[in-house]
Amino acid sequence: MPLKGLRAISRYILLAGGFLIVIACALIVVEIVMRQVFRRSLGGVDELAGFALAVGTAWSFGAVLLDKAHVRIDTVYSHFGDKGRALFDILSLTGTVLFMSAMLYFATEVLTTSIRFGASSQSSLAIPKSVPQAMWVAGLGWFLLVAVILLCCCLAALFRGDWKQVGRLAGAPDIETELSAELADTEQRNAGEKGAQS
Amino acid sequence: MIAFAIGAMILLLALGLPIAIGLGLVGMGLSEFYSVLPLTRAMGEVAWSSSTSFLMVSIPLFVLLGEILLRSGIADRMYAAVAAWLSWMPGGLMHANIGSSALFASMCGSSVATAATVGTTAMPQMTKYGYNPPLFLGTLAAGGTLGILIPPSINLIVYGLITNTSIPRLYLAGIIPGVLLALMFMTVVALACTLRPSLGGRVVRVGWPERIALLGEFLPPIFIFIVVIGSIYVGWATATESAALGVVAALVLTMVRGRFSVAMFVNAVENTMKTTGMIMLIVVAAFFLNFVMTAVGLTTAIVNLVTAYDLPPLGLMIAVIVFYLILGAFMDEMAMMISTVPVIAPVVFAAGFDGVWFGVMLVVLMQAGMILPPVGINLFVIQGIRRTGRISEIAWGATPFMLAMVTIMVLLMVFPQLALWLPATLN
Amino acid sequence: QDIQELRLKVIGGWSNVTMTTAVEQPFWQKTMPDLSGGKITADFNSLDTLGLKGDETLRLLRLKIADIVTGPVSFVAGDFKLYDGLDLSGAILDIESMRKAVDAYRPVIDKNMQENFNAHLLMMWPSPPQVLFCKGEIKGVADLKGKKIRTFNQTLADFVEAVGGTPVNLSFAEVVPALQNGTADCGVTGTGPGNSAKWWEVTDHLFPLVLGWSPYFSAINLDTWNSLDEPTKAFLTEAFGKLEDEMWAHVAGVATEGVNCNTGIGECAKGIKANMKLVEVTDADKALLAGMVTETILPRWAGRCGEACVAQWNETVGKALGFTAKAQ
Ligand code: NA
Ligand code: NA
Repeated sequence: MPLKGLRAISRYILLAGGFLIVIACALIVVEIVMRQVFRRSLGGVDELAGFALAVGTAWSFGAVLLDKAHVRIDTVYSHFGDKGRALFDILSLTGTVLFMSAMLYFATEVLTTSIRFGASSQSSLAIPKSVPQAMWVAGLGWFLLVAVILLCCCLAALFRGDWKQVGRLAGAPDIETELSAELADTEQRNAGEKGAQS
Repeated sequence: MIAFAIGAMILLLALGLPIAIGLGLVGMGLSEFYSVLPLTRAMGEVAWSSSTSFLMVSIPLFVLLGEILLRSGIADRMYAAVAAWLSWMPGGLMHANIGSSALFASMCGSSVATAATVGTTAMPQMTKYGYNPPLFLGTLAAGGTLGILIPPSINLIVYGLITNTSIPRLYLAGIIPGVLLALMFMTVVALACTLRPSLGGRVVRVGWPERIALLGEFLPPIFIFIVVIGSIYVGWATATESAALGVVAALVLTMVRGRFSVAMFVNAVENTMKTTGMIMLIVVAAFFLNFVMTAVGLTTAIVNLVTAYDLPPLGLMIAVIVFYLILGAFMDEMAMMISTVPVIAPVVFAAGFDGVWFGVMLVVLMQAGMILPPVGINLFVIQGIRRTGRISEIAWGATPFMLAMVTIMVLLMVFPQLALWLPATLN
Repeated sequence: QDIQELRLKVIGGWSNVTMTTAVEQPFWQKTMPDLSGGKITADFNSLDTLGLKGDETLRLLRLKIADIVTGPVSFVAGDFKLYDGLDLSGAILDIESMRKAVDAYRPVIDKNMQENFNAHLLMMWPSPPQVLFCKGEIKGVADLKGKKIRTFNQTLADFVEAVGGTPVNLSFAEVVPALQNGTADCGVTGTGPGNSAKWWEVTDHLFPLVLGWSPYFSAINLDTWNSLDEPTKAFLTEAFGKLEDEMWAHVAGVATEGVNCNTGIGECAKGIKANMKLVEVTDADKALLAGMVTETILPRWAGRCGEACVAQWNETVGKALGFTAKAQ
């Protein structure tokens, strides 16, 4: 499955984002110790931590989408059958692609403005703002890419008439569990039948 | 315009769009149809501003603190100890959910992180002991909201900033109502399970010797509490920074217990980022929506509905409460605070209400908003952990706890001293 | 008077400072409609209620998110360092000099706004003077050595390093608990804001050494401005001139009252009476400060800002104040 690769890469990006937060955490602790023990300040740790938060979370969005962890309200959704749900799933991905396209476009505008102005952060570190902003934009871009690929896979499944595959790719997590339980059930039964035949 | 905003949000969320995407698209729609200026173009700047906020950095740190405690087994043992002491009451382990939430809330300033940590520990017990899922999940969602009433609290910090109210006093003021609310949550559980015993699960009897033996399990959380709160109290760290010290303390405990490994740490980080990513996308979209709503005058229009009638103080406070309960159902609490408190608070103060008292009242209202559908962040966190079943079950299960929240609001109105006594005495 | 009918979208200053609540907001909601006979009205929102940090105001104006925005001048320094030129720590000790500096720098800032943000500068005004609130005995500048001092911009950090203190970066929200617990020993803020945010609850010595003025600007989108006819432009220019004067007078009043209220001596009508000890700023202190300005604060800023920027500053603000900046 081509999505396997996408999933693996997204996971590594999410972990990289997580380690930015861990580094921010370590810097905060170092700053506290420096301040209390050596009466000195690293200067700008709060700023770095803010950048880490923006970049780290942006890098996690793609993996969270593949993990179906962007929460959706299923009150109406759950009343439909496979076909109805598949349409809801595709609509939901289309909405995601739409909103994230706008987000990516305007985030890129933030980045290009920073590059043009040569903007830098306010603290003594004076980090060029374009660096964290480029990392942030890249994360949003990856999220959009993941959403587009998922949408394409879902549409392909739809045209094949494989409604259940849409649910597996983009349905509520609940549906996946149901489907895999069903699958396991079938496999077990098949295995049982095979065993009976031999 | 109000009808469009609410209608569009309900429609998009009912269609099953991810919450963040629904909020974002409503924002774009409002900008498109109700603004002469291209407000959508602010999306990039607003997203960058809101996601680089240092106060928010404490959210992933508190979540990470919880994830490490989970993987070191400390959270499980703490839960077991709380359960040994509390689960004799009708409702069993659901009291442990609330008690553990209150305990964790005293180390953690975020409701999301509190719900995520206690939720992960408690969830397996639900099926194991055959609890009624809605009420059990409701205790986790509602219990988690204690994270912002019992200090430390990110929301009290933000309130203090907006209204120039002393944060140390706000922290002191939150303690008694926080503990009281936890007790009332337990009362709700006990009442519900006495009236309908089927709601409770299998009761596990624990004897006194075992209870005493389990007291040791409170030591690790007390150690972390001392590090987090102590570092704030003696002036080593600010409330935000103390979350980082909490993470280090949790890591140290994990190493002492011999449970630390690279794989375990990577796993903790991975889960932290999944929770944080889910929450932060909603926060960023909510800040964008809030920007558009405020810029087109929608927020002012709604606030005017409440404040324009020259109501007597009691009437005004009731109007404010109703306002926040309705708005809280549809908005993210942090974004809602930022846009409405600067307008509401001066009116409330002018009517003679105390700033510290109103801060506590407001936080209880925020707590209610966190478990009110459709946009209830704690419902999402618990659903994120559960992964199966309907989110509406959690919302139903949390509803009885709204009763406790409303009761504490009434109590706060009748006895303002519940909030004001401690800051007045200790100052 | 034949002026155009206008409905302006205005993003105003922080909703928790009196410059906004007592002057700017009433101006847009009442004075302007009255003056224009109801022809010019405004939709007014504070930048914090919009969830903004303050460093993105001019960028938003460029995108025409609003017609007019107010923002802190030195927050734009992230984009262009020259915006720090009015907020160099300790360089301007009284409000008359500040007014001179602002008037001198006006063309420089307006030019930068026109070129980069498609905006036209309307007004600038200061905050009440930024002074030190300290916990524990302070007799003069020398006593700041070894203290942890909360700062909020680079030139303040330069000052703190120059006196041998430790700069601590804290968000405004965390200052009061930090001062109470001793995470910081001193904080820098305006005399008025420090009073309304109750800094006197957690500190005991007020050291009125003026370390800055945290000025604000108000600017209009250039497309909006160019779409106006001459009578309307003239009308607005006059109205903004009056508003600006009113703002300066307000700040001067708040500044004196701020000291009175914090110390509990003298008239204090709008603030809260406290009983902080007022530390006298001696001539020796002023001389020490002036030395730090010429030896540390100005050269460091000059290094950040670049040659062209420094030349412009020396021509304008420098001339008005009698300073010459030179990179180290
Ligand atoms: Na808490
Ligand atoms: Na809500």
